[in-house]
Amino acid sequence: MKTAALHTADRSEFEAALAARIADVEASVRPELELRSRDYLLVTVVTGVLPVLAMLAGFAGFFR
Amino acid sequence: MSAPNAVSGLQARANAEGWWPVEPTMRTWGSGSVFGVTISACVATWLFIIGSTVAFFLGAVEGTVAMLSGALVGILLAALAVLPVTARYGIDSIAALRAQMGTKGAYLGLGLLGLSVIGWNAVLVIFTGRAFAGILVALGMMGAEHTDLVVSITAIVTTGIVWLALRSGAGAVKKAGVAIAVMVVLLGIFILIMVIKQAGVSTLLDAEPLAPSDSHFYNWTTAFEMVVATNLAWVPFIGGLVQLGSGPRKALWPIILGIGLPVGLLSVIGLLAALAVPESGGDPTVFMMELGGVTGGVPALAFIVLANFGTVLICSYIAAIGVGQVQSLQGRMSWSLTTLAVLLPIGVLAAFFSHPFYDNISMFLSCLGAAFAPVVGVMIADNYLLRRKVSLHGLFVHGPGTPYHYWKGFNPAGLIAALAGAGCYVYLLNPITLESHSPYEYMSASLPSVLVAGLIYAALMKWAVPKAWLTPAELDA
Repeated sequence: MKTAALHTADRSEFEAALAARIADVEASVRPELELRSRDYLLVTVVTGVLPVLAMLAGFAGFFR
Repeated sequence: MSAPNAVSGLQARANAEGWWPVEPTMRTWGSGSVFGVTISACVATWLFIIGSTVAFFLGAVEGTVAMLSGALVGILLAALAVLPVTARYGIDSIAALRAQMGTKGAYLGLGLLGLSVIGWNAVLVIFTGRAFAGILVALGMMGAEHTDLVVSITAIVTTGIVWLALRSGAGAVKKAGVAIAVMVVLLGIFILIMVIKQAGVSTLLDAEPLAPSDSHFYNWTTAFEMVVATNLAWVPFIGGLVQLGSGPRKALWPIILGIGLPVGLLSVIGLLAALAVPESGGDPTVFMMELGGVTGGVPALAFIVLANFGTVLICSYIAAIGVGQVQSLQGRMSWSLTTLAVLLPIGVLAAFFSHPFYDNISMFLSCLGAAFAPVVGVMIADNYLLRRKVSLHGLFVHGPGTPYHYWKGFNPAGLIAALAGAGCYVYLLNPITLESHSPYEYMSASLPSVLVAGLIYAALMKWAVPKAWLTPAELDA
């Protein structure tokens, strides 16, 4: 499809469709699927704190 | 074409090609699908290269711990940077970056995406060719002297097949992703067993690093740093991987497990193989045949071909979505042309410059850390220090007066912070020579770079950015 440029009227319609999509998406955000404090805590401990502790143990020669 | 068709046609393409936030009804991927696509995008032969590079600094146990640590920390930072926004709204990472860099400044992310995709995929296509040539040589179907020719032909054929597959859009990616993920994991386990069985556990455990530095700290940190930097470079891809998922909570652990663990665990194969067969230099097309012979090596090489194909397919799809975010191109380039524009440089590089590119690949990979760590720092600071509420409208509607227009489409705060973070990285670890300055050996280069970029960004946004650049909601806050 070659649509080099939309006419002004088309552009308005395109923007209206985009605005409708944005409104749909914002309305569809489900709070229960948002990350919560305990998600951050768990993922930070498992993938942040533990690896850093492992590195410190490695610095100390624990894995030699 | 009539006007209504022009509009509905563009709208359909915006849906199919991911320019817009994904329609809520289309966001049906559960954790399993996100995990499948993520793991198949992640598992590829560059993991062997990383592992074999680590073998220069650390032995089997220490190298495994350092790589796993680096993989998890790297993907944690990348996920914290992009996941909350991309998975909430079903948008691409480049679109999300507009909030920090500005509507035009976010093209910086697109440039990084291009650098990463072209480089990594060229590596994968070259290895696909080398693996295919290895199979033909092992089966006595050709002599080793024709390897370069086979690599060139395979590069052209592979990129051609990927292009044809991509023309059908996300469907091909999802189908390929799930099937290849299962196959790749099974074959990866097989390869690991083969490496351990042939070389012997005690030999591997006792093997000395190939060329360690005198500094114990430098060796540990460099091994850690390489994998952190590698996983930070997943930032531009994560949005594409999760945008069909139903929300951040469904995507968090699939991303962590789908990228973090495979990068950490499968890199170990390269580490062990390089320690067991030092003369292979970690090249899987060499050590697989050394360790497995024809019966073990040929299936392993077939694994490499399949895994690489899946990765190139998925990464090219995401890169094409990224190209679609350039507003001036929307509606001017067909999907076929967009995917061709992504794949053409990969094919040309792999087909005609495989040797010079392959010889400098470690330099390229090291540069990714310097490029991506600052961007991650800026995005994390925006999400968690400033806690700015993202305007979805602002991410997709551009021009003066829109929320992320800033200064002519660029946010100087984001760009200055990213430059400062990159400068910090290069000071601590020169990605070309791997020469370092203290305190690199205790802190790595990526982590300070993330911190410096994030703090500078937060400070500039808080105290230096004109109020006129902020949204009303931000001013109220």
